Amino acid sequence: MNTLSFVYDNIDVREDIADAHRQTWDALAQAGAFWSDVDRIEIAKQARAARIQRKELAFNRTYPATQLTAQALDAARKIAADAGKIDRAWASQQVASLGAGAYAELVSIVAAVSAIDAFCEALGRTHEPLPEPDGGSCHAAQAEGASDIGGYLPMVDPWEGPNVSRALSLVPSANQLFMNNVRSMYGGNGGGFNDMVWDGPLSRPQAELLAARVSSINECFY
Amino acid sequence: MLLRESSKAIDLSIDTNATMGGEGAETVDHGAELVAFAEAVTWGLGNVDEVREAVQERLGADGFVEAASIVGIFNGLVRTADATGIPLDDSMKLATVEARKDLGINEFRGALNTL
Repeated sequence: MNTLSFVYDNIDVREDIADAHRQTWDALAQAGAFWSDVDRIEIAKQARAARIQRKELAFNRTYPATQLTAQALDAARKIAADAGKIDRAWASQQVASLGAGAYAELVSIVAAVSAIDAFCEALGRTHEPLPEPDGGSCHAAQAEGASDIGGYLPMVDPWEGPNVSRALSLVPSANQLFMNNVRSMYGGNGGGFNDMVWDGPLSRPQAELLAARVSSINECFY
Repeated sequence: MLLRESSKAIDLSIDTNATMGGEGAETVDHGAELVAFAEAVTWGLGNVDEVREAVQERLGADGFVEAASIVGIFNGLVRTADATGIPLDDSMKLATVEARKDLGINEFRGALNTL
């Protein structure tokens, strides 16, 4: 693990959070199930650029040059900057074009980078430089037992654990990339998803007030 | 729903309108500062330095980092939920009928996939 990344100077960030962020960067730099190491970093770059410009109208946004396909770019940018505007028709087009597994992996990259970038912004810290591509081969591993449960892509059913944690379950490595951050950043030592009383620096209602406000600003129904 | 249930667990009466930008944030300890923090970071507002300072002052260093952590991860979670269209599970769907209607959450585009 690259311990030189995510050094939170002068801010006492829990080590499990910093570790989760380092693991995310290490994993991001490697080929995934469907995207090469280079593609994964390109997706992250495009997503970061889109999210930074989220207040701009879509046609006023500018992006770094890239070799990604138009479909991949559309997906990465829209999920990063305009996720609340996604509907079934748009998502179905992406899934048909990219494939459900590749789409799930792309979502996980965008979501992980968005979460970590927003955390840095909340702390008043600059974004962590994205890692350099580090090789590896795509393994195309998808979960057995994924089926249509009414979402835009197949999900594992039945599922143990919070419902939202199966959103990306079609591709276990993609789900792991994002959910590893959820486990450390949502509750952490203070309490877990099923504990209504948390014994940490924030009470559960304080955490849920923050969560619900972020969700409504993003017009997220879930 | 988790805000409501976790508040009940500690006998706290809360006003959920604050989650939609309405009044009532103060029904949760330091709720006004927390809502302002969520808004400043998520929208990228110009007052974020001032708001950050207020959260640090009211909640202390650990509370501030935890708040930043929740704001951060939910900026990721909303993207996975919206991009995958994951529907609410049946128990959550049933338990939130009134709240979703009252708060106008059913008007969000993603609602089409559950309702």
